[in-house]
Amino acid sequence: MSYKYRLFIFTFLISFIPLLIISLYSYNSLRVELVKNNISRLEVVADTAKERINIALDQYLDQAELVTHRLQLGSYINNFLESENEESFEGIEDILSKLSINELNFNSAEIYNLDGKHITSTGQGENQFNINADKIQAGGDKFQLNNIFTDKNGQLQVSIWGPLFFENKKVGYIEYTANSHLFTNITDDYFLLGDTGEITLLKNTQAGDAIFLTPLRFDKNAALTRTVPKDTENATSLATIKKLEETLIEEDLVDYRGKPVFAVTRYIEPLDWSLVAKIDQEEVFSSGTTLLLAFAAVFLTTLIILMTGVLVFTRLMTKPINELTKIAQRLRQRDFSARASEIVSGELGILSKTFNEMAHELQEIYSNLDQKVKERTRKIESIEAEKEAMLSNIGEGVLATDNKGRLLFINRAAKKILGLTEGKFTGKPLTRIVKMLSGEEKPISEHNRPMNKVLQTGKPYSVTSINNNYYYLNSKGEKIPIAFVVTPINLDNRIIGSIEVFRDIMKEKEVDKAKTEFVSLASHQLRTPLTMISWYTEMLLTGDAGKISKEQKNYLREIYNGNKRMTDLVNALLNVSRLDLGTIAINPEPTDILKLMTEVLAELKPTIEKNKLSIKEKHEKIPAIHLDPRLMRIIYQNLISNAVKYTGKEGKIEINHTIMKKGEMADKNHRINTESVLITVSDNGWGIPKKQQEKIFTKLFRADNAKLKDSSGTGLGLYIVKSVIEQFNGSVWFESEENKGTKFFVIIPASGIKKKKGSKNLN
Amino acid sequence: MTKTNGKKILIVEDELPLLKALSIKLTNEGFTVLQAQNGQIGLDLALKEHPDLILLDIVMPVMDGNTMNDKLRADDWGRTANVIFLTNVTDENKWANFLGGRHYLVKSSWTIEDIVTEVKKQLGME
Repeated sequence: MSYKYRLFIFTFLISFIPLLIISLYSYNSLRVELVKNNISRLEVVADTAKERINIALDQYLDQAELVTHRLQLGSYINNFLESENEESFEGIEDILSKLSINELNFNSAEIYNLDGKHITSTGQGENQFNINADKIQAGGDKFQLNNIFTDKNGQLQVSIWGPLFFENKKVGYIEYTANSHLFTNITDDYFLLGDTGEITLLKNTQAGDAIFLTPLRFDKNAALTRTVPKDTENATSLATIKKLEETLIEEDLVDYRGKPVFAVTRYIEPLDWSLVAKIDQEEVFSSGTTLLLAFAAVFLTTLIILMTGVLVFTRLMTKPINELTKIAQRLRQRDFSARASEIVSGELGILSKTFNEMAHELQEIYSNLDQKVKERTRKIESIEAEKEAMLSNIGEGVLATDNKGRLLFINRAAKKILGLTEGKFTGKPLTRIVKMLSGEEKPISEHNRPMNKVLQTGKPYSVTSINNNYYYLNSKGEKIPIAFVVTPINLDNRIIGSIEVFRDIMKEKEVDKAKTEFVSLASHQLRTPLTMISWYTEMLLTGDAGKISKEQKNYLREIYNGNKRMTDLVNALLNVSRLDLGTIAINPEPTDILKLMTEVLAELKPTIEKNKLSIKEKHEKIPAIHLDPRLMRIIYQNLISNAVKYTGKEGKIEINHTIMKKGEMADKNHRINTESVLITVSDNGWGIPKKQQEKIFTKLFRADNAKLKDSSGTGLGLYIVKSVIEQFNGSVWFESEENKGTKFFVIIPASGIKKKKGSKNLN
Repeated sequence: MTKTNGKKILIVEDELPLLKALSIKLTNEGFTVLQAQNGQIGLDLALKEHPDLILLDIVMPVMDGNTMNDKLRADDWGRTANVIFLTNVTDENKWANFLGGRHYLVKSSWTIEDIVTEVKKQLGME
């Protein structure tokens, strides 16, 4: 919840609750006070009223005494009683008619004798009460109030009776009636009694109920008519019945109207009357209520003012905070131009100022940073552009994939070769983008794709020879022969992808094919005529065309030999050309090389025997080696026939086969680096002149002494031997001294050779 | 007149001098020799005459030796026919695979005498 509202609610509660509590308390106190005040007043009024009633009573009584005395009614009565004549009686009436002293009007008088018998009266003589004996007994020596009553006109009167004396002797009684106004003046006086208060006078009826003696404020006809039954609960007039003087502050106290009142009761003993001073509770509290309302109004107003004040205050407080918040948000969004309006004073002022300083600094830093970033980006972009240019201009196809085989990058050359010029390919699996075929014309399965193999094993996979038939299927469905190298991309010892470089080798294959076909053609074209010459010469020599002379035979032999040399040369040249063109087919199989050597020796047996050469052999047991026997045979043929050819009669030839382990020395200059077979062919023949030894392995080279001794060598044999041995990953060298002999060393690794797909076999 | 030994040999060779030389030689040895100068003629003759041995050149016009051999083998008799390939090409890649495993002679390396010997050997004679 926002600060503003929190503060508001907080202040509200802080001010409202105490105020409320205080109000309620005050109100309560007020009520109590009011009640107290009113009750006090009521008591005063009641006491005063009681006093006044007594005074009024006394006034009536005094007046009666006075009048009686003045009128000397006693003497008249006496006269009457003695004489009983009318005259004296008329005189009484006469006197009585002059009654009206002070404000007290005695309206009439009744006279009674000692026995209480009515003698005469003024007026109409209505009230002919006989004063009964009880009364005489009770208090016949003084004047007293007899009764209060309503006359035949409805007027409220009092009757006062007392004794008549003559010469200190009671001679009779007199009863006056007078207006009750002395009393009613009191009860009609509402001074200090507000609008609802009054004084009521009550006495008990014979039935025990209470009867009102005077007119009531709210019922003018109540006098001597209205009663409050004795079993009425909570009635003010109960006091009468109990003759108590009490202060009644009870909530449920009600008056004759049924309205809740407070009352003070007094007892007027002389009259046996009760006096009740009462006032409506409502009236007592009304001032309180008014006050409360006023108070509430004040309270609310105060509250409203206070709240408004709080609102304004919090507004005042939160406005700068909000502003700062907005500034902060702008700063967060990199708008460093944002500045707070600086409130001059106080904590917020300092905050704003600091904010602005901070924003300023940030602005500077960022613009600096921005600058630097822009520069760097420019640099990077230019480098990127260069790289991009480099990459896209690489002449060979480049494909990069992620570790799941999805294409990350394809360069322009690759797109061109594969015909993928339209569309986006990055993100798609490479195996879906382009199909690869191997020589068998079947598409390579996803699992066997070189890329996947590389991703799995982390080892590079390359097919670079033009003789391996790998193709990509381009967008037109054409088979594009390719040579490729796929390598894994390593980062922190994890394979994160692969990268392939490939090229279209169609041209190379075509060139290769052209070379192959040329050699084949040359081979065929050269050999056919040689065959013809050979066979026909042979047939002539064997006499198939008839007998020939010795001379003819000799000539024919020369032709035949010449042809043979030519054939040999052609064969050798063809082999050399194949070796040069790199198109030899190597078909390795487990080969018993000793057996090959033995066969070659057997072929050369005629010449060996003719020259009486001795062959010494020393061989360890050589296991089968995985190599091409035809090529191996050529090595033996060349080395052994050389030894035979270039050794004099009765010469010695030695052939050895030894197994050599890694690290051993074949001779002082040659260390074996893998388990191999060492073959040595040595003779004690003509040797190779030192000056010409370095050229021995070159094409068509024949040492001078060899040329002299035997004109029939091609000069190609050792070149072929060296080439083939290199194919076998072996090595060949020799030691030779002219006229002493030659020793050839050949190392063939025991691991043999891999199958190489070439187009040609050597003859 | 040379006596025949009852064996029929079909020579399929496009170079006429070579064809003739082989024919003469083999006839002198007593064989009955049939000649064909291309694979088509050779095939027809082979299927018609059922020779005991066929000397088959490879590089020939109209139909080469390879094709003729394939067609020959499609025939019931042809499947079992005795064939020696004669060639001067051992190096064309198609031939290299083809010849490996078949009986062939390189003409320029063989004397005609040796060829005759080989023929006899092949037919179980001598």
